[in-house]
Parts: sequence; structure tokens; C-alpha cells
Amino acid sequence: MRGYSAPDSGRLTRLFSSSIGSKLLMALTGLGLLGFLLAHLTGNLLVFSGADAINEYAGWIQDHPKLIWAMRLGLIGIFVLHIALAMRLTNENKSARPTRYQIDATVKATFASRYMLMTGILVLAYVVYHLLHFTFHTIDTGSMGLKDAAGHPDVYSMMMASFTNPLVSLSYIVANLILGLHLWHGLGSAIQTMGWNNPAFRSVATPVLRALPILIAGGYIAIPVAIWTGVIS
Amino acid sequence: MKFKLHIWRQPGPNAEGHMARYEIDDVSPDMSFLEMLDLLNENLHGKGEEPIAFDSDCREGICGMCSLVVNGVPHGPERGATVCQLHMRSFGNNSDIHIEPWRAKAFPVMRDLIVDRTSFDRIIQAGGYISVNSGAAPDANAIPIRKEDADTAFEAATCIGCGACVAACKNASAMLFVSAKNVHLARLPQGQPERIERALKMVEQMDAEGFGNCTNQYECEAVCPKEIPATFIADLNRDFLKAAITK
Ligand code: HEM
Ligand code: FES
Repeated sequence: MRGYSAPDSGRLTRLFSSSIGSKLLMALTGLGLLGFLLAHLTGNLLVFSGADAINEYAGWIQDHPKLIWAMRLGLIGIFVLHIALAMRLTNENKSARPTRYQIDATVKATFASRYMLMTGILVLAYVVYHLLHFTFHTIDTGSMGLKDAAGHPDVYSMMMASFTNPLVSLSYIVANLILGLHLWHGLGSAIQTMGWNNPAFRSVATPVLRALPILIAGGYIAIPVAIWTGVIS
Repeated sequence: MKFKLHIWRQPGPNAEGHMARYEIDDVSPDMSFLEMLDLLNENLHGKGEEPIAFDSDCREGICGMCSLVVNGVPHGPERGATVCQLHMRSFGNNSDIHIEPWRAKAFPVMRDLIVDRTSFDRIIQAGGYISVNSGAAPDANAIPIRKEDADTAFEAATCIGCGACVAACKNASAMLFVSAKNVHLARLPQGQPERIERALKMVEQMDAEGFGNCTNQYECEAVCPKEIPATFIADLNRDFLKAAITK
């Protein structure tokens, strides 16, 4: 057993080598990724305001490379930490029950909670696909890497060309449903891990925790749906 | 009533185990689950076979000894009850019943359906206590305690330490047990002096015993015979995090 009065330098090690501390880090990195999802969605939704709005936003991003690289590095760090912890915790959980039950029953655990690793891995696959598509343009679905009349990156035309393709639209819709499922369990779980799950807090937080995954997945899904169905044209 | 039983048999801690099949009839619907096993054991004894080893003591839901996973669910199909309080009328006549021991690295099987739960004792020894001077009992009600706190502490104190939470958890985590032991003392004035150390030491011992990490699926809460709520786990998380950061 580790001593509980560890010296100051060992305090963080002690915290993050414990089960609850690792879960805290899982929750914090998950919430960090959630913050990115919200920011990214806000930017993307500018497509509903027309080509100039979203292209100008893309131009602004390109004009601030230092800020963007700091954000990217932070995001990569958080993402890698989240995944590494997911692997470690899952391994520990598997070894905590070396012999499985012959009859494996589930009484109340939700579908979303039981497939967190699976939905997480699918989200990772989606992120790779998404980067190869819109960031690196390796997957070319037409009108990629163009500039508009104002000299901004023509993100609008790229999105239009991509999402008028039903297969591309479908892949984004499915991926975001899976992401929504991950968040459905993840958000409530993070609140519990951080110790905020009490009746008073829950009465305020529960509607938010339920609405957020729907708003995020729904918001991202709205874009391919709107383009595919011609609402944005 | 008649039943087809499938029961885990394992002669010793390091021996190979397997599911064995038994038929039983003449079971009264009013028999408890353990009485049904007693009857089976009498039959086995009569035939010169080794009876099935299983734990029990009070047989009225208060000691926490009985520990059977029935058809995949610790303590069986009835909610808020131990397996000793379960009646055979809860099962369909002539149905199949699967009986397995608690499964967790920290609860090794000793024989058949009996597991070693001393890992729980070591968690309590690590911090699940308050230090008081022995001697004359203090006056009752000498320390005022809010009714809500007293009720919550009492609710936590109904934990009988059976380990069903661990058995039900997909990760064999002991968080519900540890959280009940933590809340039960942390809500009372007498529990305050050691509150910080208690959360730290109990969680560190829990981790050292090889229990899994909670993933907030609340299977524990669903099978707990005393219906300990999983919100206690949030309280434990908060106490532990506060302790780990400040202590
Ligand atoms: C945009 C990407 C992602 C977001 C927003 C996100 C968000 C979250 C959140 C909020 C949690 C809850 C933390 C807690 O239980 O306290 C969580 C848990 C988890 N995530 Fe993610 N995650 C993402 C990507 C991933 C990836 C790529 C993986 C795996 C490769 C993954 C695997 C997991 C696992 C295994 C858990 C723990 C589940 C549990 O404790 O039941 N996540 N995630
Ligand atoms: S035998 Fe005591 S609780 Fe079941």
C-alpha cells in the first residue's frame, strides 16, 4: 500500500495513479474535447450565413498561425491523453475480472455506457478520416484548396461539393450519431467523476447534459443535411 | 416445483472449476433460495456426493454472507433483497437456474460458490473507522446532528458488505461499497477528524486490492440488496479528490 502523506512532488503522481484521479483526468480531457467540439461547431454553422461568412472565418484562422498551432498542439495532447487513459483503464478493468460469468446479465447500464470504448475508437477513426478529407485534402471530393474572390480559402465551395455527395454526407451523419452516443454517457459520467452528482446540482444540470449531445450531434449533422437537401445552395 | 440447476463447482482455490448440472424436485414455492440449496445438498449427501459449498449465516438479509450470482445477477431477480431472502416462487417451474460465485480478482474463489472477501476487511482496516477513547458511552443526543445528515449516514450504514456491487460491476469495481463506508462516517461529526485520511487510505487500499475502475454504469446500485444509491460514489470522488489535492 502506498503511504498517504506523500511529499509535495509526489502529489500529482499519487493523484493520477489512483483510480479516481485517472477518472478525473479522463473527465477533464473529455470536457476539453467537448469545448473544442462546441467552438468548432460554432465556426462551421457560419455556413448557414453564406459563403462570405464562413470563408472569412477560415481566412481569419489562416492569418493567426501561432494561435491555431497552440490550439492544435493542446488539442492533440488532450486527445492522446484521453485515449491513453481509456486504454489503461480498460485494461485494468478487464484484469479486475479474470474469469467471466457464464451468464452475463445487464440490469440497468445504458447502451451508450457499455460501448464507450467502441464509440471512442469509431470517433478516432472519424477524426482521421475527417482530417484526411478537409484538412489534408488527401480524400478529394471536389473543389478542394480553392480561394474565393476575396482571397480567403473557399471552404464554402469545398463543403458544398462534399455534401452534395450522399455517401460523404451519410458518413458524416453516422459519425456524429456515434459521437453523440459517446457524449450521452460521457457527460453524465464526467459530472459523477468530478463529484458533482447531487440532487441540487442534478436538477439544474440534467437538462443541459441531455441537451448538449443532441445539440452537438444535431448541429454537425444539420450541415450535410442542409446541403444535401438543398436548403443551403 | 422442479428445477434444472447449473452450479459452479471448484474443489479448491487453485483447482479448475466447471458448471455442473443437477435436477431437483419437491421444492416448495415458499422455500428460500438457500433452503433449496440445503435440500439439494441433503440429496447429494444421501448419494455420497460432495455437497455444494456456499456462504450464509443470518438468512434474513442482515449479515452479508450469502453471495450467489443467480442467472447472471448478484442476489438474483428480486430487487432490494439478498439471495437468502429470495423465494423459489420467483422462478418458473421447471426452469433452468444458473448459480455462480462472485467474480473478481479481489474476491478469489475458495471453493464452489464461496469467495474470499477479506479485501473488503482490509479496506475497512485502512480507514473505515473513527478513533474514540473507550470507556463510558457518551450521552445520547449530546452532539446535535441535522436530521438529513443522520438519515443519509444511516442509509449508508445499511451496507452489509456483501460485495454484490463488485460482482455486478462490469469492471469489478468496489466503489459503491467504499462510498457507503465513506459517507456513513463523513456525514457525522464524529467522522470529521479522520475524513481526509479516510478517503485517501480506503481508495488506495481499494486500488491496491485489484478492484477495477468505476465507469458510472450503476449496475452496483441496481443489485444492492440495501439499495445504496450511486450518488454516494460522487461524494466519495469529491472527498478523495479534495484529500488528494490538499493533503
Ligand atoms: C471528440 C472526441 C471525444 C470526446 C468529446 C470525448 C468525451 C468523453 C467524455 C466527456 C468522457 C467522460 C469521462 C468520464 O467518464 O468521466 C469520455 C470517456 C471515455 N472516452 Fe471519450 N471522448 C472523445 C474521444 C474518445 C476516443 C477517441 C476514445 C477511444 C479511443 C474515447 C474513449 C473513451 C472511454 C473508454 C471513456 C471512458 C468511459 C467510461 O468511463 O465509461 N473517447 N469521453
Ligand atoms: S445470509 Fe445473511 S444476508 Fe443472506
